[in-house]
Amino acid sequence: MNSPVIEDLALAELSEQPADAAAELRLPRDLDLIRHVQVALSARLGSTEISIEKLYSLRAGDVLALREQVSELVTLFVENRAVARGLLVAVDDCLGIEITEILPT
Amino acid sequence: MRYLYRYAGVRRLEYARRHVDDALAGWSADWRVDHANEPVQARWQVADAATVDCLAGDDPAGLERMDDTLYLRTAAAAWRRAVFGSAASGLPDDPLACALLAQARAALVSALARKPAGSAPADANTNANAPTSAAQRPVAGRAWLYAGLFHAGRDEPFLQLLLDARRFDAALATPPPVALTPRALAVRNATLPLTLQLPLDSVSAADLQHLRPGVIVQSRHRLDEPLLLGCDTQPRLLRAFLGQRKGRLAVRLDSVAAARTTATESASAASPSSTPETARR
Repeated sequence: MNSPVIEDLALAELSEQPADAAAELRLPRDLDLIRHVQVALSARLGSTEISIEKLYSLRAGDVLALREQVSELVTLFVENRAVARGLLVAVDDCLGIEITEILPT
Repeated sequence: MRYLYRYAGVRRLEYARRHVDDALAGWSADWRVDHANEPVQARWQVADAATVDCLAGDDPAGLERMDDTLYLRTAAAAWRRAVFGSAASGLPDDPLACALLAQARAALVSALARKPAGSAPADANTNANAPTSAAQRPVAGRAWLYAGLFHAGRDEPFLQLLLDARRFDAALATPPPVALTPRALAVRNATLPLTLQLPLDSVSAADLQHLRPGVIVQSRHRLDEPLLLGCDTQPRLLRAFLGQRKGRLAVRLDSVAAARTTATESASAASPSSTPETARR
């Protein structure tokens, strides 16, 4: 049995070539490719502003009023990007959000 | 002259507090947490054993020196470093220093044997015989006394004054208010935007396609659990319960949110592949 011939590997030098529109490489915009990617979901229920002085004087039991009305819609975020709005609801013993509006991307 | 001594002594104790208190508090807090679940007697024994180990070290004459130190004939530098940090490294090895060290050591071991705040409830054997009120006195007061000697040098009247623990305990009972620096004063009126977040589970990109009006995204956050109140740079600043006041959303503050503490967040971190339950109404 002949022993294999081992030589140095010679790689061709590559250079940028102008893209041919007809041959442009594009992945199909198919959700199936990324359907298992996990994204973080969160909801911003309300907000307020507080002075530094007051922040450091807060005590357990203090009440802070937020800007939002009780019936106001809350915003749903995907990876810190607002995607939907909805109503805060109680689902059994837990909090939930009933989607009322999908925000334009 | 007595008033002059007293004034100078308090000033020196304030100086010592700045240098000793942090190191001592951190060291003793760590120790108490490590030994929180041990019965009080065991914790006393471990505290003493740790002291002995520290004193003996690798020195061939360690046993002899340890004996000297245990009987407070010598104030070992290693022990001082371990307990009081670098602030006390210059304590002289003289009888008066040893006497003060004995007081500081007794107060320290008593403080270490206390149950740390926030730990599990004590059982029948743990802390059943809690230290007396004298032993529960914060160790820092004695440490100030100890460090006061270090900073006072060998001025005899001064040392006698420092040894009068009762007088200084009274002086230290009302610590001076913390003065704001000019920089802190300048920012005190600046406002910080706070937002109230509801943590939700991660979802897959495919699940996002089902997001439409009428869908209910259910969290695993119970109604009676506090939510997180924070700002952009520190989203976990405070924990607060949701409610309302005069028609507006409001929160009642619960505690500082220093770590992942709610069951919902723990469950979320443990099962990243879980998805929120959704339903059509």
